[in-house]
Amino acid sequence: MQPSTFFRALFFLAVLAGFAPAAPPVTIWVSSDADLKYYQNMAQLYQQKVDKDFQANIQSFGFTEMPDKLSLAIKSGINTPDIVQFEEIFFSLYLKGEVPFVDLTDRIAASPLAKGILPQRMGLFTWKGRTYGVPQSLSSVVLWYRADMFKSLGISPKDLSTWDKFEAVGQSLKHKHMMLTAMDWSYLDILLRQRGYDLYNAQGVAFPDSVVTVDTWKRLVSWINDSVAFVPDRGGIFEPGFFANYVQSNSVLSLIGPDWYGLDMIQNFDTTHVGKWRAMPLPVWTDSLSHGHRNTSSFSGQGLVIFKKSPQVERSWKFVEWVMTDPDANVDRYLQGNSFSAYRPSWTDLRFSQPNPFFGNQNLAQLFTDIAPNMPYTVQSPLHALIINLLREQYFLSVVQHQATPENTISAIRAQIAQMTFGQRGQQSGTKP
Amino acid sequence: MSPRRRTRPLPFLLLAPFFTALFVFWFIPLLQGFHLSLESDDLYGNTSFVGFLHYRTLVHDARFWHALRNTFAYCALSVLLILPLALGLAHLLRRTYRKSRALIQFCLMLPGLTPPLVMALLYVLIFSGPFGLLNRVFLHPFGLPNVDWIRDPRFVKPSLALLAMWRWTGFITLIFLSGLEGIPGSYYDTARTEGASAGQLFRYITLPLLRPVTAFVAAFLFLDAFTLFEGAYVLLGGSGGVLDAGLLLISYSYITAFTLGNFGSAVAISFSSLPLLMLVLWFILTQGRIRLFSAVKFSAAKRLPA
Repeated sequence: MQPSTFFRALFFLAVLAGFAPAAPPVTIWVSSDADLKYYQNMAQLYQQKVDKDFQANIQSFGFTEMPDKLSLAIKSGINTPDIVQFEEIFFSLYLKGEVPFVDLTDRIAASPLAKGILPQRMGLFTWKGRTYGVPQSLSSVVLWYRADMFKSLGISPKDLSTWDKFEAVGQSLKHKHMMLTAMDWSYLDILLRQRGYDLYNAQGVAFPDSVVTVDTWKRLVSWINDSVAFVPDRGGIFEPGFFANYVQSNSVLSLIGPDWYGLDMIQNFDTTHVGKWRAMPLPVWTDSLSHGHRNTSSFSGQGLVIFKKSPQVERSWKFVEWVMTDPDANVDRYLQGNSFSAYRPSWTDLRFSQPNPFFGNQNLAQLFTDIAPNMPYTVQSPLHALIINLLREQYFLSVVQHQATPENTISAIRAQIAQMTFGQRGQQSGTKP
Repeated sequence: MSPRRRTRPLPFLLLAPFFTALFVFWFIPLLQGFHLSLESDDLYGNTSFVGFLHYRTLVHDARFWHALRNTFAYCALSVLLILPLALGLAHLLRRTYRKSRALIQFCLMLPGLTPPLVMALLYVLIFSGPFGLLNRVFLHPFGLPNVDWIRDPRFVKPSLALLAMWRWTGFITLIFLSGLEGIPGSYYDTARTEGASAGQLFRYITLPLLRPVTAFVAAFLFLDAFTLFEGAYVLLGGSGGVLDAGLLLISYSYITAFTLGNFGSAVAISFSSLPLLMLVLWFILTQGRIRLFSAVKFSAAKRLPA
């Protein structure tokens, strides 16, 4: 070939490359406006730091509505996202048959995430030995309390070092017509896990430790009977209505919840009590049934998964890996009032030590890192969402309202699960029951 | 021999857009949904044909029958609450000054114009807690104890029925008003001449002649109650509530689809109620057939006192 021909061809290819279409934006689905804002910022930061051609189309849906949309998108194959940030409870819905998310096991093993993510959290998106998602938050559970009300009532955090003491303090408030805490179904999950047990196990057995479950449930019922706690209307402490009706009116002295509960929900929904909330480790169990004296537990938590049929799997993975390991990304997630990272190397960042005025300048990051090693291990199961749904929607209130006993309820839930999953086994892939 | 009538194409052409839209946006999705109900419940990956397996499974599904019973009970409660109230209001409205009637009619229409989701959210405030509006205004002043409208299983269906009542009573009142205005006054004049009391006028003239309207509104209310989703979703969080007291068929279908990820089973739940629904509607609508002349002749001549 003549040199002039060669250079003409090279020039022609260079011009073509300039007109080559850019990669389409990566579509990311998130579950809240706080996450929308966070990931929009992260997409810009990623573009500046790593990939100048990176574009993200980030869409936010309601917390419970997003799984509905995702199910429809997966079932129909229309308008599917590349990356999804959603709740680990909803993740369990997709474990019945073929998992629709990319197996990230090998990618995680080759990345800093393998040793960086707190081991207790890796089980959240792991099923049958394969990992399909990366947990975004530590979700260590603490007792969030109103320091001003504690002070006025003469309550010190040291008075709540055990659950027995917690109940004694709660009972002492009865004559003052105040309740120490408000509770919902999540407390059964949290306290059971704190005691070293769970609502299900990795083998898919519901309530494998029913004796402890019954004991914990009865304990919660006694809190209601002894006016230590109350259950809000519509049975949930995660609703704006709960904050408007009870928290803002000083009817609640404390709440049990994970890091994101305080950082996100309390900060956003109780704007009248800036500087008055604090956090402390959970009271411990001292009885013989409980394993150890954990001062924390875990509850729920969001993570990032990649849809299997995404045309941009590698690009999506690079973004996910970066957002989970980049120091600025981890710190921003915390400072924007979202959640505390499960990625341990980021914990040494001094920006985490910034005092939080909403929580009276308490160094919450220090508290979370101190209690993190005590967190229980979490396993995943297709039963997870089923049990939570039945508990939350049907059975928890019926027990606390004395319409059913914990023992009967456990049997009823097991029977319903057997019926649902028996039907599912017969209904999947054409096999008859 | 009479000449054959030529069929004009114009009516069919004018109706074609509607039927095309109905075919594309209703019939085809209906067929696709039915096809989905014959497939396995795999959310992702290849599904397989399972025939009527989902329908057979429903026969032994206690929760399905519970939802069906709840739904029919709730529908019946809504219809039985709204119909007499609306008819009574229509009667009263007829007796008001004509000048004020327009304003009252507008006020009656307002709840019906409110989006059901907005109304359900408002109802959360009304039903919610011991200090909700319902308890505070209608129970406390009379020394009655608080009712937990949303969490007490005995009151969940009445709460949903009250929601329907607030939404539709005004609208149904206006329909009844139109029906009442359509009854010729000569029937009443004749009957009064024969000595009929107000009660007899109502029983032997008004009620029979309102049958078509009553049947229509009963069918309308029944269908609306049957397909209610927003109210139950907002008040009960998309579930059946405590002990599944408020579990409706549509809620159960939603839970099956989106909580359990079993779309095939969810569609089967919806389709399985179709025969019963059609039977009820057929019964309601056939009851609305009016036997005009026999009603007038019978009531005016046979039952009235001499």
